[in-house]
Amino acid sequence: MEESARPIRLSVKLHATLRRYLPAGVEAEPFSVELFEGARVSDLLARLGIPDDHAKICIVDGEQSPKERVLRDGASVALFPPLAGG
Amino acid sequence: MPKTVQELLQDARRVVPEWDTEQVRKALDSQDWVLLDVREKDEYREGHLPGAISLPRGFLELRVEQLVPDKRKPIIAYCAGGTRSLLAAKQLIEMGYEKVVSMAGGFTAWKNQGLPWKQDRQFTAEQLTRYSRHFLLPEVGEDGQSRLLDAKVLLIGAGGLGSPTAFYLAAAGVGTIGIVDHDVVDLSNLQRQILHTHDRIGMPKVESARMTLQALNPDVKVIGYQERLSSENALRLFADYDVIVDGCDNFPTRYLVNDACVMLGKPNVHGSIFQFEGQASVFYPGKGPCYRCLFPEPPPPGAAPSCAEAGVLGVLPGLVGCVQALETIKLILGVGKPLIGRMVYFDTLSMEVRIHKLRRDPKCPVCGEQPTITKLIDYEEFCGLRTPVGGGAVAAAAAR
Repeated sequence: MEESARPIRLSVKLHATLRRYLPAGVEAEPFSVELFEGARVSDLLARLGIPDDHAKICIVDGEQSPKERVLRDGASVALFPPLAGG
Repeated sequence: MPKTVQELLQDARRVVPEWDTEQVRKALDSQDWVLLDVREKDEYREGHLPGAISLPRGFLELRVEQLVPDKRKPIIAYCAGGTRSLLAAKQLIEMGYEKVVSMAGGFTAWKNQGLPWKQDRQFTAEQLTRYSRHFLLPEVGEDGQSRLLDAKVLLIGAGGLGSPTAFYLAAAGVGTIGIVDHDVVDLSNLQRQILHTHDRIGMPKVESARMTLQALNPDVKVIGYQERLSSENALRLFADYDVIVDGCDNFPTRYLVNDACVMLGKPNVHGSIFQFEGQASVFYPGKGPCYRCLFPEPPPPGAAPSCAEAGVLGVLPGLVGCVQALETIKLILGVGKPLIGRMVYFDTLSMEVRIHKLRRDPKCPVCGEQPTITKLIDYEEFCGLRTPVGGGAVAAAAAR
């Protein structure tokens, strides 16, 4: 990612088992994450340290989105894992 | 000025066309008419014209706008002999319905001429009372209740989710409820698995479920399968059922239920929970995404702990299981907008309820354009709970 690109700010929420990837010090959700213009969902996942093989649904601004989706400044991102329990 | 009944009928004849049975038959063949049976419910039950809506004259003004909201829609009203429908038709015209006719001679003439009629399910006196609140809903009514009584629903698991689902399906009068669960009742289940009771600890869950459900509603036939769902039995067990409800507690079974439902084209009403959060959706083959479209691969072993490992608030499956029961009933009745292509997510601590739109994956290995999974596989191995044959068994315990 171009470090010289304009910064964008995202509002992020992690659900259920994905909460283990909350950045240190974050206590309230949604929390803010700063990336750079042109960043994709996959860049956000990498920033949060969520492994690629951890199954999840990425919801960007209320719609399921692929990891390749480019994020807009101010986007709201929620990540949902599958839940086992019943 | 007071009027006699004859005068009232004469008044009605001035504004209401009366058609004979032949005219009605031709009209029904050719145009989109609403056929309104204005007799009492018990007369309707004994026989009526196919496709007729029952609206007894006593409720005519109160309910007709709900049943026929478009006043331009042409209506044929009939009763037993043609008198009550004549008066009803006049009333409808006064309410603004643009085209209303009354069938002269009524159902008696229709039947005497050998024209087609049908008799609905004969409900017992007890059923008429038990389901009376359903009968009041036009979206259910006697036809819908009959569908519920004829429906066959298979529950995967009689645990936290399966308990409330089974309870409400039985109460609603779903006629056949199958339950697959190999387990027995444990004291630690009773914090949330409301089908079971303290004195049944050690009893097979399917037997405990049968006792509870039949005590609630003897109309319901409960079939227990005290076995573990597997690739060997899934297709056979699912074949007899209209809707499959996934309330299991582990990933191998969730993928198995999904794949078997896709292969058989049966709707899978999904619910799952974790601690204080839950999700529900309807995976309907051909109509929306399947579970694998959302989660092509399971999470790594240990990354998504079970209720036994991570704990669960006892009331949470009550909430999600009720959503599953509701969605199942909507599917059976064909009413409303099922959660196909949508997932409802509950975060009960913040009490946030969100509905997300879900996408079908054209590359899905089981429901995509070129499926690579065309028969059931080894799901323990797929979920990394057992190494492939020759690699030796590792922790294969289902998430319980």
